[in-house]
Amino acid sequence: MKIVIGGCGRVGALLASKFESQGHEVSVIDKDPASFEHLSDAFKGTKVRGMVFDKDALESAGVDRCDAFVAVTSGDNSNIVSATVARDIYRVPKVVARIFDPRRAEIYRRIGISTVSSVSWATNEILSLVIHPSLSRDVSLGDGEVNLVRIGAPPRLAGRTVADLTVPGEVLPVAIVRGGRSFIPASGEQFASGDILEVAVLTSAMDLFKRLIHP
Amino acid sequence: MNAVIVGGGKVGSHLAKILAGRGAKVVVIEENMARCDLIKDEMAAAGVQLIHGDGDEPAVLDAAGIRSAEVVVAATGHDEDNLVVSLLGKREYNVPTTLARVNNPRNAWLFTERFGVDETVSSTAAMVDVLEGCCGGKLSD
Repeated sequence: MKIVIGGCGRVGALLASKFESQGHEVSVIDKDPASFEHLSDAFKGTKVRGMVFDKDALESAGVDRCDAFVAVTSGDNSNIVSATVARDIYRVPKVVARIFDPRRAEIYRRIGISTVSSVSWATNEILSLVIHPSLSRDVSLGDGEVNLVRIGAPPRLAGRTVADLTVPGEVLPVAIVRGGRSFIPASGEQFASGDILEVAVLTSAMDLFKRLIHP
Repeated sequence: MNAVIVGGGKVGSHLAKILAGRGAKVVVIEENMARCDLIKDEMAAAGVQLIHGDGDEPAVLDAAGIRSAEVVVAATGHDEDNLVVSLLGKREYNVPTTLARVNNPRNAWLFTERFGVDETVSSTAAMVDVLEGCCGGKLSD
């Protein structure tokens, strides 16, 4: 893929080297040439000095023929404007903007810009690690509202069904690993001892989930 | 008329006074505290409500009464902020008229309906218009 990164701070520079190491062609844009020092010495891509929503800067970076655009400057508004330009004017197929302010991120998500709110994500992550350190989380989805939690089925669950461990909208066992093989269980499936469960749990329902597992 | 002006710099604050002088109910949002202190007496004397806050923050726009505004003016010194104010005003709050200030003529191409901008004011473009008027519509020889 050809990927254009708007903003060459820590996140932008790290993304640049990750993308490059996976074989993608990368251009970075930043208004401050000193920011290019964040890039690794091995960086082979294009560096463009300019505002991330400036026509000349965007086109020098090849936004008109790229597959993805990522807006990660330190300014929420710069990210919103450049992401909108990339998506609507240059028709870039994949566009993602980092937005610090979670309330704004929600609004722009509604308008149709994929946003990552680092503030929400970090807050939910820290909350989970501090409040629920005993649960092993495989994946946190979106801004961390939903977690995929992996647990070994406690003995008391043996013989109970998936429906017994389901709370609509809050807790849903999505897969069972039994004897080294995984499957997606129907609601009537009974748990067996030794099962490993992957359960989708709403972050706000983690306490509820813990009570279901260890009453 | 209810007007919300984002940006209390020279442009925003003067516009606010003029509109208020013509009977409009005007709210100015300015994020810089020192600037607020500087203009607060002037604004109060003109009957303009001054709010200290970030004008692209929905909570601040709500407090400024954007839901009952007929006009939003994005008059900050940053083009990206003006675009976002217009975008929010139009898309999120359905404000009938949005007017945005273009600071850098290089960014003028962005000030369109795409960002919810109904009308723009650009001092460079205005000067070009005036010069064209002076020269009988011809700038070339």
